[in-house]
Amino acid sequence: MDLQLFIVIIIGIVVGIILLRQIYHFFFIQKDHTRCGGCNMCDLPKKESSTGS
Amino acid sequence: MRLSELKTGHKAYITKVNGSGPFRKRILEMGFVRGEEVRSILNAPLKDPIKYEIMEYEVSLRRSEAVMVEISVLESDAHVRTDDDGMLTEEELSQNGYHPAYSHNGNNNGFHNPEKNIRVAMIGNPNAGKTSIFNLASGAHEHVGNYSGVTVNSKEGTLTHNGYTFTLTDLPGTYSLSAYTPEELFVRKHILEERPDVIINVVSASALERNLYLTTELIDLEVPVVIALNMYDELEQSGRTFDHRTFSELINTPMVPTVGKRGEGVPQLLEEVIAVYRQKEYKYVQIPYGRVPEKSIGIMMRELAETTAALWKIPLRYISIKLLEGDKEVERQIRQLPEQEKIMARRDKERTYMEKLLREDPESAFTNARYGFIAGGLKETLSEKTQFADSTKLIDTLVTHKYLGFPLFFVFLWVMFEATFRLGGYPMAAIDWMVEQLGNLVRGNMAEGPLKDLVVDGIIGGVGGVIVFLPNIVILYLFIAFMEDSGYMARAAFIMDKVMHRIGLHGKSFIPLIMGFGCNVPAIMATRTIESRSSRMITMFIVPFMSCSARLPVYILFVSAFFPSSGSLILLGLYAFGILIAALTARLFRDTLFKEDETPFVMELPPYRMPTLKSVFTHMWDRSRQYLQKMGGPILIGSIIIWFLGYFPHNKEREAAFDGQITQAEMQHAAGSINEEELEVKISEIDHNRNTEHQVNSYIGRIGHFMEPVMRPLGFDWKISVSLLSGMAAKEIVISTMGVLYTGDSDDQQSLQERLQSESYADGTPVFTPLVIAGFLLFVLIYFPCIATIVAIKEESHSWGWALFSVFYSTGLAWLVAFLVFQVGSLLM
Repeated sequence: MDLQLFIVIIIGIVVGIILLRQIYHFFFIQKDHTRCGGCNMCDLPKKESSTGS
Repeated sequence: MRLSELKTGHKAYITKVNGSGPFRKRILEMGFVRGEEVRSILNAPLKDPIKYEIMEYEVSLRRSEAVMVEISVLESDAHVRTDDDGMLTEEELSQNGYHPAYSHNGNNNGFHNPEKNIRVAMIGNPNAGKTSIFNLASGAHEHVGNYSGVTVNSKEGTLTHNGYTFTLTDLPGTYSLSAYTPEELFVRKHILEERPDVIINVVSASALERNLYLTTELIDLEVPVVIALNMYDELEQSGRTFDHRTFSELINTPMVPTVGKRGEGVPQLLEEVIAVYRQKEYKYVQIPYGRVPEKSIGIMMRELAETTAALWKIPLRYISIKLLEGDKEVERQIRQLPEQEKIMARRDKERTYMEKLLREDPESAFTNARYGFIAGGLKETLSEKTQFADSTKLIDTLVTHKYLGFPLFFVFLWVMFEATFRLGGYPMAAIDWMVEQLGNLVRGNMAEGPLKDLVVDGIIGGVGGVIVFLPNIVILYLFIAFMEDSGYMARAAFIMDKVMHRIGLHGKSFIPLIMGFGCNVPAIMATRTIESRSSRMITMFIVPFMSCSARLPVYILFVSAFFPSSGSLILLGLYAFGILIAALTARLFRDTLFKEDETPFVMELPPYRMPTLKSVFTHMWDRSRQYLQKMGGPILIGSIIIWFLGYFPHNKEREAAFDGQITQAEMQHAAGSINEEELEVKISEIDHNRNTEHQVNSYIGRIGHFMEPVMRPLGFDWKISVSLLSGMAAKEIVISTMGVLYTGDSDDQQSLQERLQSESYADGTPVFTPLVIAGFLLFVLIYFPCIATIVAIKEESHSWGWALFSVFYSTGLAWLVAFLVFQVGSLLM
């Protein structure tokens, strides 16, 4: 097999794995919500307003 | 008399704050308390909002909100007589559970930890300089700026000092620990649930009175605190002296002067943290609230002592105060107790008792008492100002002037784009030249084959096409950093409030919008500082119309290729069109999806501060690093994927047919029927057809042709359609895709601009006509910027539904606008 084609195929496989890994992480790995420490207080005023009156 | 009636330049004293709910609570906490002096400074260009000075800082209020505040020009009117005839006797106070200062073992409260690892939380008012100290201490590069609400989430950093390991948590700025805004609740939750070993309360020394209000809440919470008197240099420059040692003794909390931007006082601050951490016993003072409130607090404490609330590891005095204040979160927790009915009945009775005797609601009574305590302490320790820095007032008279305010703002934006486009053009040309040389080097020295094509067309063509715009991005961020660090950002929000009001939002929404010029993701996160959920949601949806820095390379590519003489104006026009679309969307959403009333506009206007060279360069370096990292990550991966989709499948028969045509032409040349020049033209034509045929039949060509019927009415060919499709991942990939797809026919590496200029259909008509370019640029401007932005919308709205709505709305609108531009333009031209 042509050496250049062989290297290109290897690069293709590596890039494919990286892409699939990213897709898997995007859809299936639960985020730890570090940005707000898991706090869901933003929703509190909404809940209160919906139950308040 | 109402505050809104106070003439510019005049002063008065607050007698009463009317209204209810979050607005009232917020302005009370910001110092609009009975007896406080307030001065009207100036009106925004459209007469609204108004800038006031109170407690030595500046704040803006709308006229409709200033009406709620009653004032009197006579100071004596502000002090009403109540039935609270002073303090209880010491014996009475003691019976009620009040002790001016008492100590207890830290372990009982769960805050003491004998290990050498100290967990420290940094708490303070917005724009007090917490993140500056955090960055200096932990070596982090978190974003800082001279406006409120830069930090919208907690960030952790570690450092070691004198054998101790510090885990620092930088929390969002908050004026108090009430339960009205998400950041207040978050900070309180962090203190009570995470239980940091020591709290660093960062206090702005230039606005001590207001900043110390939060300190009084921490005192009530009985947590180990060290106060960082930040920006102490500003206090000294104003000619004041502050006997912080005496004040520190008064509140039994160590105080350390610091200058965050220069790192002065940070080692001493850490030493104090260690000293407090090592204390076996903490001595707490208690804020004296006056005879009537103290009596009610005592009664509530006795009531709570018999319940499981006593096991919460939260001081009963604090719970009692919060219950009497009407704190919703504490009420919610109390309602979960079996004895809730009895407690709440007692609480209601005590609130009525307080209101009757004090002639004001308990919320105001506690706020007034806290400010009274601070004022009392500062009276003895803080001297009057002798030096008045007029620079802020002078700059404000210009940038918020009724006639000059708006023109100056747009001149600033124009200078920003002019510098980004023109100044950035020189280093851009240099990088472009280097990319070309690299491409030619590989072209000339590598054997023909797929790897060469991948390196030249895929990697150098794709990544190289994007990397040339690095200087433009750096210059854009330089201006944004200046805007954020100088304090002009808050002024922009101030002058824009009236305009924002007309589209159903308020000035505070303008800050995330300006931030969106840099990157939409942090801009969407910055919407957390907006109190109203409906305003927050609308702002979140319109942020993507703010043209982010990732879209800038696309504009510059086309503008420099097709309209180089009017580049800045076209850029300004695109940004302005984005703002217009955002405004129309906001109005539409306010009238249909989010009809809820908007929130009041209460915003602190910080004094102007000259950004330090270090902070500006750090800002620029961080952005450049991020951009380069993107080159090595998503852009590289995207370019390789596009190249693969464009290179495969290879059809040997088709290739052989084109090779046959070339051989035939060469034979014609050998036979003398065509000359050398004609041979070259013929081979060039065959190569062009080979490329076109190959791309059309490649995987990406098939995807493009599948999309073409939808995009054809916009004048877009399949390559433009594919570029837009790949740009969904990130806007820079639009360029790298074009870099891969528009390979050109030249043997030399050409710039992408040249390749786009020479791109034509089979009949010779150019692909990129002015109408196609206009439609394409508007499409790039309007459709959603990247997947990261959509994820950010999902995170902030807590809904995939809203995130997908944003995708469909922006893409649909982009299609419609590009369609109108092309079709209407074609009819007219």
